[in-house]
Amino acid sequence: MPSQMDLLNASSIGGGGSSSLGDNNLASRGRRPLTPIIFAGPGSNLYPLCDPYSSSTTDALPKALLPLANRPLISFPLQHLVSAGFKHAIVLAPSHQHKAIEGALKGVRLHPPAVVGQKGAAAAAAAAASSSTSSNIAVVDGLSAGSKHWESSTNAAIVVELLPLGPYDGKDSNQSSKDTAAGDGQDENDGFRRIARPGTAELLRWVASIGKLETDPLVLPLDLVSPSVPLSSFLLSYYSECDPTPPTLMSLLYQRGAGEAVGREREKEGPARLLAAYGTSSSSSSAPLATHPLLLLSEPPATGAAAMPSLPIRTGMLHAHPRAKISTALLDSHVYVLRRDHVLPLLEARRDFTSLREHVVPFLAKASWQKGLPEKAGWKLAADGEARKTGSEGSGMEEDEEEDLDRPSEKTIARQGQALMRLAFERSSLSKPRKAGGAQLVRAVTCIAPTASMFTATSVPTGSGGGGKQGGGKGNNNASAAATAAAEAAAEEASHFLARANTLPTYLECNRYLLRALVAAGQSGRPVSGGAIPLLVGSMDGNAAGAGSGTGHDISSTAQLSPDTLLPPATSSSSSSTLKIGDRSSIKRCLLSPRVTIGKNVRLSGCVLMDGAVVGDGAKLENCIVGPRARVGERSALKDCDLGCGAKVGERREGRGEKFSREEESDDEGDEVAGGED
Amino acid sequence: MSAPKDAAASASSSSSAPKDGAAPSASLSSKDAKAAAKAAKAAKRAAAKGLAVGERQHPPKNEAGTTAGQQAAAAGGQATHQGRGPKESSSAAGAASASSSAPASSGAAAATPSQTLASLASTNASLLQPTQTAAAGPSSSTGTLSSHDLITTVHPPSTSHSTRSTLLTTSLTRSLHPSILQLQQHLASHTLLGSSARAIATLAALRDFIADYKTPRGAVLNRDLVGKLGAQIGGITAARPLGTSAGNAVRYLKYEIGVVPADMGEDEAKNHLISRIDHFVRDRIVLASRVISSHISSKLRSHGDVVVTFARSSVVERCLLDAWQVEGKRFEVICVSGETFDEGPRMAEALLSKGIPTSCVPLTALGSVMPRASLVLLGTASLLADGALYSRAGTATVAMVANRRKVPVIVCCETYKFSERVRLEGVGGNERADGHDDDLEDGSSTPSNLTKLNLVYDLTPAKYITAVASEVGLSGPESVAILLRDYKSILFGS
Repeated sequence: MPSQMDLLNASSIGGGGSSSLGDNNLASRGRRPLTPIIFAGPGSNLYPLCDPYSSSTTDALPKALLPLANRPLISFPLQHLVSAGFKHAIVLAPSHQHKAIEGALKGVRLHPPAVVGQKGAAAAAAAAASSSTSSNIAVVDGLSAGSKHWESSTNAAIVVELLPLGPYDGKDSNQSSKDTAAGDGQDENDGFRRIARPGTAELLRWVASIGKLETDPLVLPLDLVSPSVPLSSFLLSYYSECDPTPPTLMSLLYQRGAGEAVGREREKEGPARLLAAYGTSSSSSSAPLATHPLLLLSEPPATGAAAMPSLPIRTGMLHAHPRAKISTALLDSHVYVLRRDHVLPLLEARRDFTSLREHVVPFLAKASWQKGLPEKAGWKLAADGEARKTGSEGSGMEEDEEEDLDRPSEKTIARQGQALMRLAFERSSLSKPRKAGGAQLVRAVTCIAPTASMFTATSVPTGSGGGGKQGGGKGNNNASAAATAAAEAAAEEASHFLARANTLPTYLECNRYLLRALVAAGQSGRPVSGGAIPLLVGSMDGNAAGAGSGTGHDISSTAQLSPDTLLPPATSSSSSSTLKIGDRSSIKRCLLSPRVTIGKNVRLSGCVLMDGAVVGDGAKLENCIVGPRARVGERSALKDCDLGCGAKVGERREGRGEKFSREEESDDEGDEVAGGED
Repeated sequence: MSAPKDAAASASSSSSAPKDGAAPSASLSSKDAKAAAKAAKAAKRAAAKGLAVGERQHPPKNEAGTTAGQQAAAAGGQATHQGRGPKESSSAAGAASASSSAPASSGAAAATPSQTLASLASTNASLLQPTQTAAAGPSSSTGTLSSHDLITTVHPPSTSHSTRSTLLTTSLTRSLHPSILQLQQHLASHTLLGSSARAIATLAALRDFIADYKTPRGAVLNRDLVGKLGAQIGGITAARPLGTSAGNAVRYLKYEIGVVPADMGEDEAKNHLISRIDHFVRDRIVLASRVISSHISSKLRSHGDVVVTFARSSVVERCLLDAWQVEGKRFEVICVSGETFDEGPRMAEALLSKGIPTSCVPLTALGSVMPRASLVLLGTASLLADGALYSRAGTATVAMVANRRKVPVIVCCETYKFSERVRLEGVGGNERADGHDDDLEDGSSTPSNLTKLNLVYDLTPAKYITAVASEVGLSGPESVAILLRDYKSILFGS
């Protein structure tokens, strides 16, 4: 009996020990500096590759899994986060995509961040030793998993917490996708709309309401390719703006630039123009990216005959910022740091704000200078306590003393901490005398990424010309010369490239950029631009130069592959993943995914072929995107065309700037062969 | 550890100069014994906790073979005293107050040559070739330690973007508190300057950390918290060394954590610690500066004084503002601007915004403005145990010129900036302040054996200082050690 009791005790102690371990981790984790949130968007501008209204992962590609240089798109923001040192991220995606995302992330390995200190170095060495064996991304279900599981998987470089799109996503995803149009009635309880795709602002409010948003959110887009601007330099600018209170909004604008060399047709589909106004740089040179007050973000006035000849601007803006710059050459990167205690009340007050990019960010930009706008919007701002503490620091401290006596709440403690930090900054020998007029409580700041105009002028190859063709045609010497030229071009470009792969032209451009960067890295044997590109589990990326000898691919000996063509990593285990290239085919500057079948005498240049794509004999494709399991019929000639998931293009079809998707094939594309090829 | 102590002891005996009459040498024997015991205890504790957490421990270099007297006389007296600070002070207190004030003569004499080195380095972004300096410098006569060795102990600046982004990444992976991250970046980029500001900011960040802290099950708050606090403080020092002011504040906080009763509830204990932090800031920093300003006001005539100040000290600024606004004194201020940071113009801007007639001159114009001056007010980062100032680079020049002109020099310094250490030179363990002009690093025309040395601090010997105004009164600089000894229990909570 006593022994049994001991056993019971022991087991209970053991249980207690394990749970206290969880608590330990929780306590040691402490407060996160920022909460990274990635919204997996619908990919509205990526039709026909993505279909925002599809509810299955087989009919259309989820945007998160869109292959960018053969890596799923979502691995890029995760790599940004890991490189900046984050170990945790929240990913919001439709619940039916969760399994697919989890599976795709198993095939990706992220570069560990560069840290100082022995511990970090040892960890990096260990990671390097075990590299390319398994994924270092841990995926947990955010709704079911408790916080204690997070830190238990210490091997993971990052823990990804998958959340559905709002409270109604997981429960009735089948019907909600169908009654999208009818489903925007407000739910009385929590104010979340029962629709399939709530907006980002709504989702942010929901994430906060389920207690996942402990600290200021760092919102990242799914699709940003920015080797020139690592996330850490954006954060440095952010922290230089925290003096000591963080700005309400910190955003990143970039120069439109990528996607302009992909042909006239495609350029029209590029990112929509944006009118941005910003003030003169407010920061010292201590920030790597110049920061400016953000004044205005809106759609540009219409051009053409109906356009107004002038641009209306409030005098209040010019009064507050007399030297404002207005530009239409900038684009919003959708990288935001929002101040939690400011933005959450706004989201509560204005439930009609559904999108961060379209509603919240422009509103914050305006509210930073327009007097009375917060009041008009019913936005109750928690004052920073600056009114309470003016001039004499001593009185402020005495007030704090009074509050100490009657056990302060957590809120007062936090406020006093802020007051203390503010006192420190007032006493700094570089502080400036306080201005007489009270500053606006809302502060919207933007960084502007360095210009991209330099490289677009020089190194983007146009259409069918360029060095790749010559290199592919004239044997090894020329090939290596072309490769080194490509390496130089990539190195030059890496210093300025920044684009979002959220439209078809920029997607293609990002693919090209990454292709060049990967090929250059393959030549020189060093990691690409500080490890901005995630690794694939299994092996190194093959390019045509290195992958000639049998690596599991079924490539005809008479096929010509230019060295700047990216082949999928060869896995010897499964024959199903092999790549087949027929006789006398010529492939230049292409990205080939696994299970791609290319027939005989095919000419491909500047194309992206996704998983399971089939190109028939004698086809000629230029600047095309061929979606998963899409088929191109024999002797077709396509230029600037996009094939969606499972789309089929008939034989001898000639196309220019067209889009093909599965549904369309029988409707308006009359001369297509309807699905009889299986 | 023992070798530098011996060196200091023999230096004090060889110079044998407790010549300051202010030292109440043998009168208070029982009190002395008590104080000595306390000091020894504090020293032990400080040593155990690694008091000098902000500054690198410099291994004593090859002093064993040479005579100690030579050692101390050399300008580059290698005992860079980080390591032996506590011990030295305990011996000082134990030896009836004499030995710690001894360097007032030897230290000052020794400090002069190196002082020229430091001010030379500070007046502009000088190009110093370390080996050449060593050859030209007076310290080369002993040959045991060159200036180059000292220069290697200077903390490199962390202002460059790559350094700061690595710092940020490292801190993020180590899960430091958000307030610490923010403070780190401001310290590293030199946007938060001034010893008071840094001390308050350090305490504020640690306060935020404590407010968010939860004791893990099965752990005791005061043991667990000290360890975790250490990691956070490590994050701060990775950005910039703490310095005396923040170091003392952190030391105080650690002491307070250590004496939290074990049976106190967690919330209660946290609130207690937070209120202790608030008290420290209020009493030792905010109210102290008010007391100091009342001392200074009493030294100003109601009309016609010309006050010269250097760079920007928050205490001096408060003194001038109080004297002008509260006491109604009418005077003129000349801000001398150093080269290291943009502090002088900011000071002038702040004073002008309150209506005080102020002019701002560069350090090179010192000679032309000093004849008009009736008082020099200086702030400091740290007041060393021998009365020397360890302050913004350029302070020494101002003090020397004022001393030459027989203008009184008053140092405004709260007691939490008092240091138990003694410095024989101003280079070792200093910091570099070049970040903004990276042209030197990048320029291919620069010879590779040339390094830039733009020091943040310099050392002002006590003999140039007329009086020290602290919250315990106006006293001579040589009384720092006595103040430290007598007020130790009040000042540092032990």
